[in-house]
Amino acid sequence: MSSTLKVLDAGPGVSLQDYGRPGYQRYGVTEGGVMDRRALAEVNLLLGNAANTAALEMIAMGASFSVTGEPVKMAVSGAEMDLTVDDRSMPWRSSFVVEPGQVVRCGYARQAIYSYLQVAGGFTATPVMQSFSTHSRSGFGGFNGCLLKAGDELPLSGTDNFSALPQQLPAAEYLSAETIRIVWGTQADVFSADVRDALLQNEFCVSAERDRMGARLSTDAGSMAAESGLSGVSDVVLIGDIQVAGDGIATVLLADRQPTGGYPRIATVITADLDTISQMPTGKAFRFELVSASQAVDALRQRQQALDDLSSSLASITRRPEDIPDLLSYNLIDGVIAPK
Amino acid sequence: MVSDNTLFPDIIPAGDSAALIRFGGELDYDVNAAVLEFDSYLAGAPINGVTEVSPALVSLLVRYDPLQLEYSAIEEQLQQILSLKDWLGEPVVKDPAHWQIPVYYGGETGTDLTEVSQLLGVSEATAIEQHSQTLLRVLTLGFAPGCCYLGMLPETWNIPRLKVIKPSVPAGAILVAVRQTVMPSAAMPTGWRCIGRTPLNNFNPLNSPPVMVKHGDTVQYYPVSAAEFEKLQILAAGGQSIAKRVA
Repeated sequence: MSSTLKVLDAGPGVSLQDYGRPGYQRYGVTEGGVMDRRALAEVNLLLGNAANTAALEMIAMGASFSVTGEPVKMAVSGAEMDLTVDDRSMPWRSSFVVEPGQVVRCGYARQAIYSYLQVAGGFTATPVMQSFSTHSRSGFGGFNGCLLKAGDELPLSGTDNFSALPQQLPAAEYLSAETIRIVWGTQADVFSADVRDALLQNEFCVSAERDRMGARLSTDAGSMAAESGLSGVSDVVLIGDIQVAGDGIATVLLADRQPTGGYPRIATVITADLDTISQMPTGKAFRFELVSASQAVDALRQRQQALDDLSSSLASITRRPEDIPDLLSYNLIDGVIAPK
Repeated sequence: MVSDNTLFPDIIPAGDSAALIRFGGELDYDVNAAVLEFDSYLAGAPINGVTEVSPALVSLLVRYDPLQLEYSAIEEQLQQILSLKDWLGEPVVKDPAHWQIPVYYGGETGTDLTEVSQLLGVSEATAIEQHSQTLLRVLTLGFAPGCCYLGMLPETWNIPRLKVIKPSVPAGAILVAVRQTVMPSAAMPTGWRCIGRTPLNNFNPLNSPPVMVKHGDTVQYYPVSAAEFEKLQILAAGGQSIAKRVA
């Protein structure tokens, strides 16, 4: 019998996401995908899934779920939420088993914005243009191109691996960084030296006007407007581009950005810091730091190394039996002796 | 914005994992042709380590894996290809198609037809005739899935974009500004004037590739009545292609 994950309650913007669909920008299709690539790697590592297996992305408000069919092993990562299974508190950035009838509740995100819930083996959905990522504005990907709502029942691929005990990853430092590294953008020369200095000298925060497309910044630095170039011929937009529209306000363009744009872009956030800027809490002060191209690539290499090393920081969760009130209802080895 | 096209082509780094090749600072038919031809060349002779090539109006973005390839190496290879020939010629896009696409000019969607014909200083009928008798090339796709940018319309059509963005035009809206026509495949906001609507939906995410009319193809619009538009719209909804492929 195959299992499903039932959505009991969902905040806005819960969607299925993987690493997106690179290669379709030429058709006007944005790459999309998870806002926090490291967090997707983490939930999949916790469950032994392939790294690009699509997971549910939740935005700030959380969601609650139950399971039908067989018990399901799950994992959560990204922005820390209060996680409970029935009334039992569970550690974040961990894997755990949920029995049919139990309620998994993810509360408000605390330290960042985007959180991820994954199931062992992943969800059953149909890829669109080689990706499971939901692009709700265009209405494709994920589950019929839609954001999830209460009552949805999501089919699971159901390759539970109960042989491994629940595991946990240590807290992630990239979610508390206060410096975002940039390189100058392809159109930095249409901004005055004063404006470029202002980008490096001042504190910025992500304003409440933020979504999967981009994050408008607020600052005391004044207008960041370009000297010219507002009617420039549009070209391809990069993730992390810092665009300044006619109102002088800077916006960092993120996963669901428009594929092309005509507003001048002063700088680009380096690839290694994209998860951090996407997850930056609203209103938290941060600074931009200019780095060289080779420093940006070194940082990316370090980030990749950190991802490769993640599996060595996996720790089994061991709890004293007396702390587990429903120990007898656990069925940790069923999958080993009776494969489904 | 640099607008002296003699300074081009140039190659500059874009972010930490892409190179931007610019064939000009301003849109020009030949500059766009160079972009399309260069794109076509790279499709036929892919560079190792390049993950995606995206052509735009006057530039191409070449994304690569910086852990596999250094910027200087990608720049050198691109420079070498650039030096093979003068790219500012007619595009040799492989298998370009020619399409005839129906448009219902004016009506409840083409609300700017009157204003556009006034800006052109001609009658509405003449504006329709000029728009539909110009052979247009698909210069690029962008902004939204399947959304085509076509050009170039006659010099007199170098009309500015609107100062105030329209919150929404429907899929198939025929939009004009700066000697170009934009043909979106879904409802979207726009700063361009809307002179009509086509029943054609150029984007289907289940097809490979997901668009029918693509880079380098040529398009000729032809006027249809409101009644014909409605009939064609029903056919299009039923999955029939209502653009005629002529060659």
